Amino acid sequence: MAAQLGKIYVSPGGMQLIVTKGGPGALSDGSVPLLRADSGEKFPDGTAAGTQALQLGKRYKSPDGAVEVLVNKPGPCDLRYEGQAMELKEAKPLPSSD
Amino acid sequence: MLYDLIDGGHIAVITLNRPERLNAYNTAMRDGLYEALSAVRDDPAVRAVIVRGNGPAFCTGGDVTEFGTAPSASRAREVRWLRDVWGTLWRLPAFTIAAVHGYAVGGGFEMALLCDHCIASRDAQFALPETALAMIPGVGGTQTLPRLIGWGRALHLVLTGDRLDAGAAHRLGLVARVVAPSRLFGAARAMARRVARIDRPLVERLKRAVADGLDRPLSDGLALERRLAPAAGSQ
Repeated sequence: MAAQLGKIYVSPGGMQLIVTKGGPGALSDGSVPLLRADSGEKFPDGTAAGTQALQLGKRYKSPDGAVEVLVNKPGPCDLRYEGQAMELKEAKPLPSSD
Repeated sequence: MLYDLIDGGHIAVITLNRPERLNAYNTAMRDGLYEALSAVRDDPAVRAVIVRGNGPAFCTGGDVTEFGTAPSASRAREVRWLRDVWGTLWRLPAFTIAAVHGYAVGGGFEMALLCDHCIASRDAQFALPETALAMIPGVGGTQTLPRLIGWGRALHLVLTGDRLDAGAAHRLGLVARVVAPSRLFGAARAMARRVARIDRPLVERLKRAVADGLDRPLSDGLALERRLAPAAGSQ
């Protein structure tokens, strides 16, 4: 399932994110594909969640920066895009403007 | 900077969190605020935002220990463009509420002026002291203030740096409501909840109609309203 721009996805541990830069590949928690929040689907009972604590309001990006997501509900998730771990997006350091 | 979502994700709460420095605005706060405002912008569930301060003050403006540290004037302009915190706040497609207590001085006052609605606690004090420091208010105050209270009164506040208490700010129309300090967040949350019942695209269109229309002749403003109305009605 593609990571669709503007769509909300959920992980087995209850983490929720919005895709802010989409791509053709799949988002997953470890090897478990994330579900579209509007799909009506549910994870099977006992689906294991990842262990990384994703934080509210933080952005994560694919290694090449092509895909980005924004976390809007924190929770545990080993977030991957096309099987590759997504990285916390850090703001480029900028000096004071005063 | 603290960022939280409440009420089913429809209300964002942004808390300025440098209480030991009366929430003076430094580069770390700039970056944190930009990140939080960008999150609101990109989260379609958020319909209202409360901006508040932790500790004894709302915000005392730019951190004077960083004044003069910009590498150059051109670099400073570039940084303001690259990380446009105030433009992002002003253009947010969600209703913004400043919940002000204690000092709201300089950029802190101007930050509240950039919000759509301001609620103050009785201990709030507002001032623009930049002129006494041979500076111009740099967070939009010279533009937002006259739009709210008129040319002469705005220029008086900018030139003199006179301080307004919450009651005076309310009488001038800068503050919609004055409440006891213990009721400040509750009052802001109640207002946010009222707006959060409205779909975000409609909130965005209403903001555009009011804010963009204000800078146009009435005939153009009415035309803008006519253009926005069908789209809003289709929500």
